[in-house]
Amino acid sequence: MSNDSLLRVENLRLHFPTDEGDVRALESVTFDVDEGEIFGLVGESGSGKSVSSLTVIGLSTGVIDEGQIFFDGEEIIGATKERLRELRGNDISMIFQEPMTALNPLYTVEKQIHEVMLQHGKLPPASSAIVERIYLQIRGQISNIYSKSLSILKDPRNARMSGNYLLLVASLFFSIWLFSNYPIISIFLFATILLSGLLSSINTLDTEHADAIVQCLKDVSIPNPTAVAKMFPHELSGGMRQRVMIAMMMACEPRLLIADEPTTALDVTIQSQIVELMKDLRNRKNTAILLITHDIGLVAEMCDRVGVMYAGSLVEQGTIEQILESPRMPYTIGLMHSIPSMEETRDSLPIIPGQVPDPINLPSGCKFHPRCPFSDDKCISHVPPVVDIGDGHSVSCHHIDKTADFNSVQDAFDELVTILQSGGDIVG
Amino acid sequence: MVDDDVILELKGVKKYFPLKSGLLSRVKKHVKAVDGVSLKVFKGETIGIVGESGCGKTTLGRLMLGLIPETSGNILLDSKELKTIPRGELRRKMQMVFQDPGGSINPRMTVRNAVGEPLTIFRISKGNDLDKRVMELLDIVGMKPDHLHRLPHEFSGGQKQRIAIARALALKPKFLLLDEPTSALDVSIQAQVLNLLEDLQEEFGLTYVFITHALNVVKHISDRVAVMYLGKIVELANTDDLFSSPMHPYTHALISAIPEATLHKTRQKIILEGDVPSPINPPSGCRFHTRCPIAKPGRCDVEEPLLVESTSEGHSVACHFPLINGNSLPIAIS
Repeated sequence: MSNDSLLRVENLRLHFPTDEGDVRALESVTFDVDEGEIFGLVGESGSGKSVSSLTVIGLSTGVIDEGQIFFDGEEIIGATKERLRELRGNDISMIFQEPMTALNPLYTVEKQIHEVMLQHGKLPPASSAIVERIYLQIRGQISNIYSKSLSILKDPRNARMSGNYLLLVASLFFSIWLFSNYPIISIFLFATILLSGLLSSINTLDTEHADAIVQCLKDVSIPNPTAVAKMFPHELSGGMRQRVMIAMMMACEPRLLIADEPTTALDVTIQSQIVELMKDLRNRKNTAILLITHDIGLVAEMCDRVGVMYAGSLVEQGTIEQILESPRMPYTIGLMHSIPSMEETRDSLPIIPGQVPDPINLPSGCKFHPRCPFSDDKCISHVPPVVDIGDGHSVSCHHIDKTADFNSVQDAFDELVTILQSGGDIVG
Repeated sequence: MVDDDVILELKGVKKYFPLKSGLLSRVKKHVKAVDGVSLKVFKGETIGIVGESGCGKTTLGRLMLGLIPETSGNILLDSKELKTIPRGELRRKMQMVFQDPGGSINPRMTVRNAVGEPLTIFRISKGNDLDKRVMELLDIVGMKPDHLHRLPHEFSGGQKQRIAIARALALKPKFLLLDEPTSALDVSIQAQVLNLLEDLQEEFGLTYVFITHALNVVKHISDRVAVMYLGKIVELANTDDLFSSPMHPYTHALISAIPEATLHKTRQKIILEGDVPSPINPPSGCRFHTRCPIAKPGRCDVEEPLLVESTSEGHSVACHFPLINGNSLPIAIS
């Protein structure tokens, strides 16, 4: 483990107090992410992968029992709220699974990215003052109306293009009538309209800012970025929304990007677009990415190093080659076997018996022992230590000596399944 | 296969959902969810229907079950028009399992009542006999008899899905529609449920229509696969043929896009540009031409390709320029 890693989570233990008892979400999690590296955390639902990432940016509501988190040498646990706010966005950003809920449906894409950049002081200096912008806005509006009415005067058929102009003419007559009958009311009315017009033109962005935002969108390969900038989230497709999310998070050029299931809500063809985009961003800007996912395929596609989580513990960690080719923890091995493969055909899928334990009543010792074919008394009583088996490949298991052969482990699993089934025990 | 073996047949089935707008709720547009699908489902086979979200695969499934009426076309079950078969008889013949077991099982019904409900409705058994039948069913799906009086919230996702399967089997149907039955489950549990489904098929000679977006699952469980894109079947073939030599460019791209948990990638990745177009205004000609790397202007955007059987047996494809024998796609520039 290098001391100069960008993010370092050390021995993190965390629980959520509930009425039924403590939910033990994390049990001693240790990992680190280097500058420009893509680190993947894989695990099934409830394994604690999302909680780990939320704790890193100080958003977790759980009670931290022990452990330390260092970002670039700086302790994050116990940092002030102000410092955390500074870190979030500027140095650490996060993208979430469902882009529709993460984006505000009431504001345009442009406005939302502008807000992020404004908050973090990343906006380029404005080219115009507010007054100037309001003036330009109003002048634009007036010249617009002028040219439209001119074209209508030239050829009355142009008016048919839009019903709004009928409305405009009608309201013109109405306002003349109103002014001649109730002058005071009408003055108030006009003042209000003028004021709201002024207020809305304050909202228009400076051209420099708008350009910077369009550049952000261009960076994530959004086609026609100037048009997309003016759109609302509901007008965009799922893949586009996720691109906008990424653009927003990358706007402040963070050093660490946490991606929590970034492609789970997307279709496969769109998923591969987003994967390419994230890899490309890493290569261009050297952003480290912490990828949280349940999809080992995605990890294989993207990550440099992987950590496998089970019931709140990080059970195995190593480079992508080590984890995919020579996994040593029985859980990792079982998990890899149980994914239907695209390349080989098998009659029935190898399975891991049983189910993920209830986080309130976690098993003692090794959390995986009730489902493991090798479990013995030691596994039940003692939590296995994390052992480095070379080249940064670390495993937490009492029986590493038995797990060297990939296939024999699966045979052991199959045997366990048969034993459990013949004993009338439920499998799953 | 002979036509006697056909259990379900779709002939040019269409389903348009009207979009109402304007002053008097006039129907102005239609969502063309399923737009002319013809398909034969043979007895005892598993046919997989794959496609991205919004391609109409779930709507097709609901049409097959008679849950929604078709706009045009015919659906025949055992050579009888589906519409003319009484509802009760229909449900004895075809049952379904949905994606989210938490949502498809009433949270206030015990397992006994949930699984036994079809038996009660059809007055097949009651009282002690019902208990016995339900216990048999639970045993079939690998659950214990003492689960009988528990409520759904006491079970995990995989167990709930087992309960849903037990309920679907209660009336001994011959045809089972599985709509994303494993999408909501974890990988290790998914494998358990898939194995269970395979065992049940062997034991009871069931016919499965398996709807999913996960190609690796479909490859594992299906005999034949139909690939859908914007309401149409673009390719239909035996599973092995489809995955070893996909002929439609879309299928090819779809297969290559699946992230695989291996390091040595033999497959070349094809990244499609853009998004799936809206089913309200599907593109003219071939619906895939807007994203297709080999589309030829003047042909693909004008003329709609029909689903025709190609050189190899049982392999149908709807494309003007199918990929034949090792012809692969040029890698699209993103």
